Amino acid sequence: MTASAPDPENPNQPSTSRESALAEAVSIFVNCQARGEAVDVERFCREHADLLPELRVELQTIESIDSILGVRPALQETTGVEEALPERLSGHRVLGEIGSGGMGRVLLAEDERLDRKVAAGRVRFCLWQHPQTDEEFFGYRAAIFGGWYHTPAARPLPFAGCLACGPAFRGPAPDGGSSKLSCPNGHRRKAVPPPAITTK
Amino acid sequence: MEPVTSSHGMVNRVQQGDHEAFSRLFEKYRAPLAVTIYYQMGANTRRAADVDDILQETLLRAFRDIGQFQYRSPGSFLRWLARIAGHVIADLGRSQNRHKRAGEHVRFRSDTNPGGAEPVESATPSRIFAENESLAVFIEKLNLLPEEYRRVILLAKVEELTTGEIAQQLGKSNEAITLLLHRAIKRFRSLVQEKK
Repeated sequence: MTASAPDPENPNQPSTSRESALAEAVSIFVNCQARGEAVDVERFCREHADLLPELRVELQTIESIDSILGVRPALQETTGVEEALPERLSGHRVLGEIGSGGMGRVLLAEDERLDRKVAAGRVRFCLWQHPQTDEEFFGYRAAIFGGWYHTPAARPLPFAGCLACGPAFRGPAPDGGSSKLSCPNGHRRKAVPPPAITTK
Repeated sequence: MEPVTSSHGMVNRVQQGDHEAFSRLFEKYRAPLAVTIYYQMGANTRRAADVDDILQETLLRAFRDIGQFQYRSPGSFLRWLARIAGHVIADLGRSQNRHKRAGEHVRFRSDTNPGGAEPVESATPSRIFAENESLAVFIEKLNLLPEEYRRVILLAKVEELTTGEIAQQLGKSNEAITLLLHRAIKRFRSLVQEKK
C-alpha cells in the first residue's frame, strides 16, 4: 500500500486502501450488470456513501459507456432466463413466485422432506456482498412472509410482522422513521407466532 | 402480440420466424458488435475492409444460423455474434491472401506515378461510426488508452464479462482485474473530459 496518487498510465501502480474499496464497489456494480441485472446508480451510491463522490463519477462514466453501446437492459429487460422459475431451490421444489422487487424475489416452495410449504427468498447477486442485505432482506421479508430464506442456503427465521400486506416489499416508513422492518402501508409490526404460510 | 423486451425473448421469437424481433435484436447489438469487430479486425484488416461490411456479413450469417444459438447467460448472444464475426474476418483474411498470391502488384498514384490507382483512404470512418458520433468518440478515446485498460473495458462493457471471467481469460487475479477496471474507467473518464 502507498499513500501516493495512482499513476493513471501505470496499471501496475500499488493501490491505496480507498482505491481498493472503490475498485471493489465498481466491480460489484459491473458484475451485476454482466449478470443482466439493472442496478440503480443512486441507490448503489447510497449504499456505498463512504466512497462518494468518486464512486458516483465512475458509475456515471460506466452508464455513459452503456448508453453509447445501447445494450444496457432496463430492469424489465432482465427477464428471459432470469425470470424463469427454477424447478428447485436449495433442495425445495419451487411451486411459484410470491413476489419480487429491487432486492430479489420470494418463491413459494415445497420442502418434500418435511412435507410443508416454505417461502424461499433469492437475493439479487449484487446485494449478496452488502452488509445491509441480511438486515433488510432477511429481516423485512421474514417479517412479511415468515418461512425460510436463503442466500443460497436456506435458513429458518422467526416470523414477526404485517400479514395484511402480503408480498409487499420494503418501503419508507409512513411515520418518517426507520424503514427497517416497517410495513409500507403503515400497519404496525407485531409478533405473530410462526408459521403462517409455511405449513402445508 | 406481447412487446419484445429481453434479448432472450427476442432470440426466441426470431427462432420462431418473427422478423420484427430480428430487426430489433440486431439493431440492439449493432453498436457493441461494431466495436468488437473494429478491434477484432486489427489495423491491417481495417485497411482492406470496412467494419460495416463485416457487420453486415456477420448479421447475415447470424440470421442463417440463429436456430443453433442457445441462450446461456446475459451477454451470451453478443459473444455468439462476436464468434461469427471472428469467422467472417478469418475468411476475409484467407480470401485476401489468395488474391495477393494471384494478383499483380499495383502501384498507387504518386508524384512519380501519376497514372497509378488512387490509394484507399484508410482514415475514412466506417458508416456506423460516421452515423453515431458518440460511438466514434468512444473508439477514439479507447484507442488513446494503454492496451491493458482498453482490453479490460472491452471485456467488461462490450463483451459483458464479470471481473472473475476477465481474470480467468487474462490469467490474472480477480483483485488485479478489479483494480485494473477501476483505473481504466477513471482514465477513460479523464480522456473524455480532456476533450471538453
